[in-house]
Amino acid sequence: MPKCTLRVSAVGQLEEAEIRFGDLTVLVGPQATGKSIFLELFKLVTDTGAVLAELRRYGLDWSKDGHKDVGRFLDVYLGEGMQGIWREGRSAMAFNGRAVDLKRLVSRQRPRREESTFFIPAQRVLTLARGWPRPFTDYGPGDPFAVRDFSEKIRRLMESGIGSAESLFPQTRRLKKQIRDSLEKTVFSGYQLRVDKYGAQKRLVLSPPGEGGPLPFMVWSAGQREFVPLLLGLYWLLPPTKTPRRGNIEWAVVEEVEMGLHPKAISTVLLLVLDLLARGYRVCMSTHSPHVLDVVWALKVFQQHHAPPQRVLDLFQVSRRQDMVNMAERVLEKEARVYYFDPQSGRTREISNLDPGSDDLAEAGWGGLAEFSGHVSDVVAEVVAGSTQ
Amino acid sequence: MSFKNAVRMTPGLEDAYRRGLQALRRTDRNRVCCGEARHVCGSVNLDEALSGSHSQERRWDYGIGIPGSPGESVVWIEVHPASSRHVRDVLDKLSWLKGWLDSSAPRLRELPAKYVWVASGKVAIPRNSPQRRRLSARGLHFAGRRYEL
Repeated sequence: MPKCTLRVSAVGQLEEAEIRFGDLTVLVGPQATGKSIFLELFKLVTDTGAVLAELRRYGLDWSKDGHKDVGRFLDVYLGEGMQGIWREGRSAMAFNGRAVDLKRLVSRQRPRREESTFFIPAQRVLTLARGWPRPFTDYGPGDPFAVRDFSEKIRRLMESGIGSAESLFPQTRRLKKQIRDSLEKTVFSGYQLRVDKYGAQKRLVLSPPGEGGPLPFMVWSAGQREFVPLLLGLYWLLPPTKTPRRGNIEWAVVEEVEMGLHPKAISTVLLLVLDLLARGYRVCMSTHSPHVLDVVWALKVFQQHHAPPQRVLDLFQVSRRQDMVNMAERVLEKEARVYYFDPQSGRTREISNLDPGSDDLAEAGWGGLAEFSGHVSDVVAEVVAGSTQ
Repeated sequence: MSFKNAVRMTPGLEDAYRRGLQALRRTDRNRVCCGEARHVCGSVNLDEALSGSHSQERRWDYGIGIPGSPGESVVWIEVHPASSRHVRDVLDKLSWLKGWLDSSAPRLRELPAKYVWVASGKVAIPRNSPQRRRLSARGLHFAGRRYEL
């Protein structure tokens, strides 16, 4: 695995964030600690040419007084009001040890390169308006690039062959059978995801098994509304052929993979993440779910104890089909790293060991994700012990 | 009643009282942090003291007296491997301890108590796990690798 690091200093809430990426990298920390900003800056440094070309293609211009302006660029790229996060003379970035000159970067006129990072944003539910992915131009100039770009990508996916298929989910050529079966149970409850028409307008609907009319987007459960854009993003990453990865894409960034989902559905989505890893993608996720770290912790323990790949499947209580065993075997070769974004210091700390017995509360409490539960246990233990006196 | 007197008046523990943390096995003393000696008013190794009279039973490890107002209290500490498959063992020991206190140690039983499990090695019980909640539902605090008195 080639080494990859990004350091961001004095940007927004981030005093000093330094991440050395693993095959799987998980970012945790309370709200507004800079995880999203960090991930969007990662997208920017890995895909500068593609990002700038896409912005220019849609008529966005971040010039001021005839020169490309960093503040205006950040308003366009990260969203309106974000220009203030970059402090002239203080803010800095370094990618793989080399300083990034943001002013020079946003002035680049070099030709567009193939993208290497596919970004699935936390705001993905906003990409489906009335059941169809919104085009880039449907958003305002102050909306973040990550949302607009993702929305456009899944729109183009739908406009390509996939949108004319009888059923979008389940599709026999997409996703491993075990994962499809699990999604059917945990997210769709047997409903079929299809393309329907309302008048002349195409839309995504859920059709019930047996009798009953299709259900439009606004009637879906919150979890289904959150999950379908994620599914389309994963379809984009997982071609229905023997090709393991799409194009030159090396990185899959998924923000808050658990959004709106019941823990059983989160387990299924994590199986999809493991499939991405097994195919050779490097995955970077942010999360507020201890469920995600349960799996990362278990994988680390399995690696330490040379557990057979079947034990990975036992975690998810799926059967030991050969394709799943092969996937699990590849996953056990991968390195996972976990970083905590500390709101007090504005710095990141590596907590990859996830040792529940660590003296470092950030590590033992999994970046706050298990802390409250542990605290509840402590208070309950005191009450029960006291009441038996 | 003081912890020291309560111990000495308990059948089987007449000679088991030790000052400070002296009753703890040497390897276990490092697992309990008490700051200054005055924060402890003695200790007892239950497991050793009752090994003759309760040889077949799952005995609890230690009791440590803690000064306080209005009176002293006791922290009952079990040092044990910490993974989810040991939870049942430790809960069985807790049941034994409470039963023994009820039947054989009324003086100690009267002292306010806290029940603590300290891991003897690596910790494999996450803080958000149902196993942790099982422990706390029985009044047992899981302290990880070290316990601060």
